[in-house]
Formats: sequence, structure tokens, C-alpha cells
Amino acid sequence: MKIWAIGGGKGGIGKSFVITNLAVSLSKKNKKVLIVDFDFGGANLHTCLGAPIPQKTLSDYFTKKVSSIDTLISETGIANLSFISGANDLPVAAELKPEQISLALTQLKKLPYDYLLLDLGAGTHQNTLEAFILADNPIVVITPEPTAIENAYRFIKSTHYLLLKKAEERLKLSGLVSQVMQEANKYGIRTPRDLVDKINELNPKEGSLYKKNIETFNLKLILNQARTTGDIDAALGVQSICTKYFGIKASMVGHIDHDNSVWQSVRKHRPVLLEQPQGLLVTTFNKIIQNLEGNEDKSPAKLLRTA
Amino acid sequence: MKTNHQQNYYELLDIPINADQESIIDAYKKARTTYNPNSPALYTVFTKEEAVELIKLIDEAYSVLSNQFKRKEYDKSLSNKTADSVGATPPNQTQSKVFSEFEERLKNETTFSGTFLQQVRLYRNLTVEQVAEVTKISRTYINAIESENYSKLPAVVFLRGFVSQYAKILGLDPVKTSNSYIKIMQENTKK
Repeated sequence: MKIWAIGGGKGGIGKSFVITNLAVSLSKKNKKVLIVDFDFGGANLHTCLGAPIPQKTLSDYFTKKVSSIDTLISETGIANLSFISGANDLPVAAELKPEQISLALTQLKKLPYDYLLLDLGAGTHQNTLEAFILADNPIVVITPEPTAIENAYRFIKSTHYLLLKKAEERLKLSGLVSQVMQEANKYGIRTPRDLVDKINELNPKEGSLYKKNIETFNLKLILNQARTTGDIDAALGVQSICTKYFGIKASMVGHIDHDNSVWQSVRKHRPVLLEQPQGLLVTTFNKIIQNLEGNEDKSPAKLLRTA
Repeated sequence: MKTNHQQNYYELLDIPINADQESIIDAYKKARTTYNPNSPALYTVFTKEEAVELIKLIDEAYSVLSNQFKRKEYDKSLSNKTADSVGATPPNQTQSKVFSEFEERLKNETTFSGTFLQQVRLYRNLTVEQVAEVTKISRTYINAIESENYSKLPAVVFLRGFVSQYAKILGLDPVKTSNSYIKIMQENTKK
């Protein structure tokens, strides 16, 4: 089973829209797809899918009302596409621990599906990032607005930091990450790359371990709501800045042109690919899937599994 | 953060050290759009000043790497830095003499006619198409600038912009070049 997760910092940039339509595209290719709403506290994926408000949600799993996660699966009415609704009870969502997230993921991975698609919430909560770094394809959605890009950077920086902390824990390193970050201003650290460079300077042996760990992470960028070629240039700028200045490899896997049929379909509670099966977006999503399939081999999830 | 991150010119343009002229131009074009100081991608990562500094560095990288003579010198200084240049191949003497003569002329030239611009372009190993691609000036205008076909050229205010852009790509001083070009044109059209 392959895990694809979509995050991106800012709300309202089309994360649920993108993942729903990726799911529909995959299901049309005869792949069995399970899409899970991991937006804790803001779950609304059922609306994108045109499914009724579900009776059971991830809340029931986290509060142990249900014993096994597969009892939460609802059918969407779309062939090959099932889904699990998100935890919407605020107290449950607020008290979730990262360990619960990774445990849920471990159980989801055992289910008989080809793809597990995770719709992550906005923001950089550790629970969100926890799921993000475990994906084979960690995908960040951006729109050409400065606010969306700013939040995407924050999201990517937080991801980078969590990867370092995880590596530190797993490899039992000496705790330089927090030490250096406490003196971030003194050392002039502004980017994740500065942080790793500083660690490398202080302790080359650990530095190279951190570097190796980060190098295996390859995040994917999707630009949504592109209107001009300038928008695409901006997204390529984000890709270049992540790779060169953050030291975290990013690959742009596609852009989705601004299209009025999108918001119209959201209002109709129907995935746009089903509303417009002959539309241009079908080709767009197929291309994105092709690119995602093309470069997902070196994922941290796999490395963690083999380590 | 240092905007250049101590990158060398090749790293700035994201090209391998043995990149050919064409890839240098492509990379430069790409770097200029990617690192346009007004791009929303740069906002919050670089300050306005850093963004401007970065684009200047990219221009500088291009002006050196696109010039065979300067590039050779630069490569030498790079390998000196890394490996004390043991066993570096000595430059071809006659070739570098021709280069340095033309370089000398470039430094001291004060009159920039169309013919001269064309000579510089050929010396830089650039085609009209490549210049057009980078500067976004149409080939017709570039040809007209070079052949001094004044009737085909736009009003002076636009022409000044075009010649400045063109001069930049050629590694010439844009103000000096455009002033001189327009002065020559005005003298010629008076006759």
C-alpha cells in the first residue's frame, strides 16, 4: 500500500479538493483507494466526496468506542473508493498524541487497499506533521498568494525540524538540534539549511547523519489555482528555494489551472472529475499522478520501515 | 542566511561546471524568472535587499560564465581554491591573446554601433535567438539594432530600453552603450 498525504499550512487552498480528485483518478484506474480525513477538528471530506455525514468517525477510534479501525470505512458510491471520516469532536482532536497518529497509520496500512490518501488539516500541528513525514508521497499544495506560500514555507520548515528531531531520537544523537536552535539568533540561523550547516560545523559526524536523513525526504509540490505563467514561475521559485536554501528536496509534480468548474462542483458536493469527466482537469490529474508515481521511491517511510 | 550561501557561479545558476553556452543561457533565463525580486516565492525568505543582491549575483554569474575568456579565468580561480590547481592545463596561448585583445577593446570602447554590438555578440558565442529569448526583445528588433536599420526601430524611449537590455546580456555597460548607440543613430539620421 502506498501512502500519499497532502498538507500545506494554509487553509482554503484546495487540499481536500486536490486529494479527492487524486483519489477519484486513481479509483478510475481500477486501484482500490481509501481516503482518510486527517483534518482533526476540521473534517469535511465527506462533503467533497458527496457522501452523507458519517455516523462513525476517527473520534470513535481514538476514544476506543470501536475496536478496529476498519469498522469506520464508509463507501462513497464511487467504485473502488472508500473513506474514513475525520475526528470532529474538539476534545478528542485536541488531546491526540503523535503516538496515536502513528499507531492509527500502522493499522490503516494493514487494510487491503492499493492507496491510502490522507487529507491533512491546515497548520503545523505535530499530529499533522507526524502523518505527513510517514507518507511515501508527502505533498504540499500551494496557491500563488504570498500568504499561502508563506504558510507553506512554515509547514516545510516545521517538517524539516521534525525530521531532524526524529533522526536525533532514532539514532540517539546528542541533542544538538535543540541546543543550536536555542542560540538561533546568535548563530544567524534563519533556514533549516543554516541549522544543519551549524550542526555540521559543531559536530561533523552527527551533521552528516542529519544530512543523510534529510536527503532521503523528497516532498512534492502542487500549485493550485494557477492563472498565469508568472504563477508557475513562483511555484518553481518555491521548489528552488526549498531545495537550495532550505536543503529539503522539493519537486513540482504539477499545477492545476484556475477553473470555474471547481467551485461549482464543490457547491454541488461532487468531485469535479465526476461532474466533468471530459474536462481538462482529468488530464491534469492524470499527469500529476504520473509524476507522483515516477518519483516516490526514496521515501522516509520506506527507510524507516527498513531501518 | 547568506543569500549566496557562498555559492559559486555554477551553483547560483544550477548548472554543472562543464555546461555549454546554451545551457548557461537557459539556466540564466530560468534563474532570472525564478529569483525575480518581486516573486511571491522570495517573500519571507529574503529581505528586499537580499533579493536584489541575489539577482545581481545571478547577473554577475551569467556575465562571467557566458564569456569564454572570463569563464576560463574564473574556472582557474575556482580550481585554485579547491585543489591548488596542480596539473591544470595551461591555456592556449594564441587563443587567449586574441581574447585578451578583444577584452581590452571592450573595456576601452566608447562608441557602440550596431556592427560593434554584433561583433560582441558573436564573440560571446550568442545567436540572435538566444539574445531574444533572454531579453524578450523580438529578433526583428535585435537584427534592426545590429544592422542599424533605423526605420524598423521603435521610438527612442523604447529603443533605449532595448539597447540597455541587449548591452547587459553582452556584458557591456547598459547606460554607456545605449547613450552611444542613440547618439550615433541621431547623427546618422540627421544627414
